[in-house]
Amino acid sequence: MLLGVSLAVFSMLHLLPVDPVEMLIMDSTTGTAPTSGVTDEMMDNLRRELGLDRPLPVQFASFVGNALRGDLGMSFRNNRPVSEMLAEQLPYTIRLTLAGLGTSVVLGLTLGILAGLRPNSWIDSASMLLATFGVSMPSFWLGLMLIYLFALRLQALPALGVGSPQALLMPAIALGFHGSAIIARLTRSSILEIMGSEYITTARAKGVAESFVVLRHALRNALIPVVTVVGLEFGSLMSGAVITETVFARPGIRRLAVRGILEKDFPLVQGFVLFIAVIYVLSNLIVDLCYAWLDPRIRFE
Amino acid sequence: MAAVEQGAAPSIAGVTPGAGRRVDERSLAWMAFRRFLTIRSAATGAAVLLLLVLAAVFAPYLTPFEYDKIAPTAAYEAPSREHLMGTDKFGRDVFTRVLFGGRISLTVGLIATAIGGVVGVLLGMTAGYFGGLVDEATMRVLDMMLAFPGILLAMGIVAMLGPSLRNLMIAVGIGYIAGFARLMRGNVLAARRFDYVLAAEALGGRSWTILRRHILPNIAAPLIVYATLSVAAAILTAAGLSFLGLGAQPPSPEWGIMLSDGRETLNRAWWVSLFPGLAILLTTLSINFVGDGLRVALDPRVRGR
Repeated sequence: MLLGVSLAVFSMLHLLPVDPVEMLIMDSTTGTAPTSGVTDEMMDNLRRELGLDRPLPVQFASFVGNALRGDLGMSFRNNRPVSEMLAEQLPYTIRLTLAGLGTSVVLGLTLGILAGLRPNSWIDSASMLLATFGVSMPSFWLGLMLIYLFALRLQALPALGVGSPQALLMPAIALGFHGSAIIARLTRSSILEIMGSEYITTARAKGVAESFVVLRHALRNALIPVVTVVGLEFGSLMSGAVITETVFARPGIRRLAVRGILEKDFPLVQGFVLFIAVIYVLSNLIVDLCYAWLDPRIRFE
Repeated sequence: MAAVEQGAAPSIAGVTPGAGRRVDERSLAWMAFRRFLTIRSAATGAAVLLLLVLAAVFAPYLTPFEYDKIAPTAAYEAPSREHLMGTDKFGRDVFTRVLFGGRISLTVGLIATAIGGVVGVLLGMTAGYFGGLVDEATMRVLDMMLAFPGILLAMGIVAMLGPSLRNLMIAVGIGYIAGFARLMRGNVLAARRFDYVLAAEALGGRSWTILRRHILPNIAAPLIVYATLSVAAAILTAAGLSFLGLGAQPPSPEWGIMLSDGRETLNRAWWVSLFPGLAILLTTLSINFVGDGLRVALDPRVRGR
């Protein structure tokens, strides 16, 4: 699977009808006019230097081999190892992603459980309305409006930067709101289904307190599908963080990704895309392990 | 209500091949449409969406301004009777730009979904119907595409094609192929075992005829719902990428770009960011309400009630 992903990333950027060397010497601001006075010989030298003259399978093999050793190649534009640049910016992005994930899980579960336990009540309608807003709301707009309201008008929270823990609050909400909507909907339907099942009736019949029924019997089973989504959300949030980082002017992989794309810095984009895809696959693996813990039946299979 | 009728009915009849050719099929679509209108959120969503579409289509007639006319003396004017949503840093009327931006966003949403939908549906139907090695190979490739979360695949494709509005539509569209294909494959696999499909096969019907005439109309409901919700998601993704500078390029009145323009001067001119964002929200919200309404209206379990 991971090999497939790296093949996809690799071919995405190498099977292009464009020549990276030509792009490299192109004026990066206009993107059209090649710098004058470049001879074919100079281009060939550059191509050799970057290893782009080798056959594609060889290039791919060395890319995978190096990537396994943590070497994602050199950035075209910055003359620094891509892995070093990623490592520098990653902590910020991971912190933001975790905070955003926390927001979606807490908000999503709360709304979903409240709605699922009282179907067709006002709290159910309100939660689901909020959830529809959540999937429809552009996160960058939500972020900007939060900044306007809480930082500029009320001056309650810092607008930008990464100085204090409070500075993480608004970005986390902006990033996590969309995911919380998805989790809320799923939790609701999952709880609804389980509250109607026979073992819940049995538990109630034997006189178990309602709160215990919900927490011990219903929630644990209702969480199984939710865990899947949380795993998927981690990867989506990490790529979505690129937008939130822009809104709040936070450091993070956005700086690498957006600049890499605009400047046609292929090794940088390749490293960035590969890294997130790998994290995504790994988080799905962790989800599978969580299943076994939540659902003992899976262990026997 | 007549207005809503025009907006929603073609989407049902249009995607159900053969609708109108046989009376009972038309009445099924008609019944679904009637059910759709009884869902308050869905009917409201459809009405709002229709208004948004009309506003985008007739944009030049709804405003005295041009969307790209620069008027430096009128920069950053607060919303007033003349400039309903104020003006931006170049003195351009925000209301006008929001109207024209609707053309871009709605087009992007539709075309991206169409790209993902057509390719995905064909792949999914082929994989599901013919099975075997075709299925195996297709699903492997799709799994690989699904290993890229959300916006990332689109970013990668934009990276290789270069940022522009056209490439944005392609990039976002490719991102939806896997979703459509999976949905169709699952449904085709289930539909293959139905008696009427077996009967058609026994009568010697050609594979594509069976897929088109017998299978597709019967699994159209989840497809319509998924496509509708995809349009909303595509609009969001496209606006996000444009916001990052990876989609439509200035001076295009694209909503994402307008938002990012307003970011720098939020304190001075909040309206530059507020209104394009509201426009995105209103559009995606109404599409999502329509999609959820269709899900209920087209559900075979409530059919006939």
